[in-house]
Amino acid sequence: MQVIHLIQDNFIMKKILVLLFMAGIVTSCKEEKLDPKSVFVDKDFVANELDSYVANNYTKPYNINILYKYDDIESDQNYKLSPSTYESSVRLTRLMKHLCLEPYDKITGSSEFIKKYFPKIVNYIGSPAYRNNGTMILGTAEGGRKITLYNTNWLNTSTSTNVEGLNHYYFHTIHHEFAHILQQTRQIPPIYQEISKGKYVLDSWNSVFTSIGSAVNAGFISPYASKEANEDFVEVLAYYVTLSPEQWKARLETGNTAGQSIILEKLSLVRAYYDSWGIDIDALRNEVNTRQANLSSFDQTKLD
Amino acid sequence: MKGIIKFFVLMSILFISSCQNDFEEIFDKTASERSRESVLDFKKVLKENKNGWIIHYFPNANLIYGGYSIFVKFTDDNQAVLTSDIDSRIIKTSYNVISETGTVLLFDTYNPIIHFFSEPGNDSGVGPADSGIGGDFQFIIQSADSKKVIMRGKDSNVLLEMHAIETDNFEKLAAEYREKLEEFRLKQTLSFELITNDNLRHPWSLHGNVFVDSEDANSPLMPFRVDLDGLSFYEEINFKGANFKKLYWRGGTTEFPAGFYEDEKKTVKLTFEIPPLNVLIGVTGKWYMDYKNMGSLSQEAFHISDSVLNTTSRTMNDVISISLGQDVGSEDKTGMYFEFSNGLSGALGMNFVPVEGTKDEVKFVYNEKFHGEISALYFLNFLVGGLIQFPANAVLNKQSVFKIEANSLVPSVLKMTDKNNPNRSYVLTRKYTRTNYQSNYSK
Repeated sequence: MQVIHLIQDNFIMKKILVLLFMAGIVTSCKEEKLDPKSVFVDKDFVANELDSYVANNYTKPYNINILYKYDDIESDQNYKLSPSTYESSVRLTRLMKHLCLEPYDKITGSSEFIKKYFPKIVNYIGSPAYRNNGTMILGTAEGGRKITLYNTNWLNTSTSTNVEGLNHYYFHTIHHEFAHILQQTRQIPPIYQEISKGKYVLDSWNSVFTSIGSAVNAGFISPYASKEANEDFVEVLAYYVTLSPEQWKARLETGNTAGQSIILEKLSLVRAYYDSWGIDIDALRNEVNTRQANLSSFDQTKLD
Repeated sequence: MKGIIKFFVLMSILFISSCQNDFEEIFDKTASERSRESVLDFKKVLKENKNGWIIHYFPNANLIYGGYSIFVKFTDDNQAVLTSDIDSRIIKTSYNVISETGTVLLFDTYNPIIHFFSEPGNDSGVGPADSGIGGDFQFIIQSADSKKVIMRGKDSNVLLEMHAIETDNFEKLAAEYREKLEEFRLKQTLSFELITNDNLRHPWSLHGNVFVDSEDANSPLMPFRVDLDGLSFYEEINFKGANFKKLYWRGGTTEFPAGFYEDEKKTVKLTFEIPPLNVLIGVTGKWYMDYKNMGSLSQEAFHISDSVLNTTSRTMNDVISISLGQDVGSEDKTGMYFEFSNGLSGALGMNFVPVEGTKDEVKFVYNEKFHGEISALYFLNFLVGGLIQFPANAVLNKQSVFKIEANSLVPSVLKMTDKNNPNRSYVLTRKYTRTNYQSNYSK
């Protein structure tokens, strides 16, 4: 403090102090030079056939990466999980392009729509994520950026053309989550939320509606759709696109006509919403159904 | 003005001192360089041993399942082959070595050899449905050289060792370990005792690859691996003053004809009791029979069963295993068990009754416990062959007494022959036999 008193009102000392202050800022917080060598050792990485297929068929055209090898950082560590087998990864990668991406390409006329809106990362987990109450997670999406598909090891030679299983475990989830991503850009029409207003049950969906029929009776295409309006919306889309017309009709007919009418009203809004994106969901459904029906002639293991 | 000056002085001091990070480097390389080198060095260690490695693998943080041997050969930068002492398949997988909280080795595509231990119980069939056995497929490396790697399971935190295989006999070595484990499995339901230097006998019970002191419910578990020359414990055992990490197999002696285990310093012996054959058959789990190795009368019973089964749209060709013995899941359940290729199974309850005064003669008495309607239907005719005695049925009331022979003191094969008719006989093995009878069965 004595020092401060001595230099008080001294103009030159004030200048020196300012200069010292500036010098301190300039010299003391020197930026450390970044190590040009990465800690990620990729020089030993040798791309296999699947890596090359992903690079050429997902990353280049769509800017999508497939994480088929287990990575803790990309996985939910609250669950005991298994990696995907190589075979399952190959099949799923081929099928996802065939049954999900290419139909959108065809309907929209180019790969731009998928490139712009589809999640950039698809993460494969071999086992389901089992909760300790006996239920399991089939798929999750994070912030529009990543989809994780579980139970990929179910997919093998004997299940490869089981369309119901493929949709149940993978492709219904993909259409469902993709629809959520579109919602983030363009919300569902407010009128949709009015249709079942007051009837949504949030996290009690699996205890309130224990069968498809009971859900349809209440105007929901699935028990999960009763959770809330956005889930309801994407469930209608996902079921409509992946089920054949006969299967869709059969699903509706598990419930009463009142419930069916509500669902059809919701479907018309879903149709209009996708029209605003330039997507005819009936054409999309037709494309998906045709590919599903001809799966036996699609070689899921061919990577070239 | 005073305040401004004070401010500048204080700020100057703060900036000059606080942002200084020119401290003396302890290492001659940066952290990222060291991480990168560690990864590359470790990969080199793995690949350079062309003979492969054996992981002394103990799944589960509490070691409740004991230990196993997993054999791995790192064939190139990202590929390895694995086999184990409980699974004879040799399966390729991809692996990676990455830098996280240390150098981590992980097997990042599914391989049933190792992921059997780590996957959820719903998939492996063992352990809790959501968490399974609790083993690891990711390992944090603690140290590594060309002979030995010390690593810690990333989930379980269990410290494990991986040893270099020194000769070019990867598959043969794994087969030898499987054989040793199989031999040990034959002792699974026997009564063990540890004899200490003071000649006191202490009962030990065996659960998989874990021993437990039967006299002390609070004693720690003693998990071990079956090695080629004995039993290797996870850590040193301190038991009633004796300390040992391994018990070596000694083979048969006059005192212990079926063999025993002993520590290197010969301070303890681990022995086991073999019951008489006519008791053993009912207390040592399931013994599997094969149509091919049945006597002609027994095979005839199969043909009769087939015609009965046909009435239920099934045939004996659909049967993939038949066993006799004890269902270890239920202590009082002994009988005959069937499995079908469509996943159905059946059981017919029978009491195994040793013939008094003998050690190798037994009768089978139906105890009216069964499940599966199919079992009752075709077992009835199969058993016309005379295997069992139905108390209430005069036609079937044949008192068949079977004499049992064994291939060794700790048997892996039994032969049962009807004392009254040698054409009614069965060969039983401990090896789980899933045999589609279509391949063996012809009229």
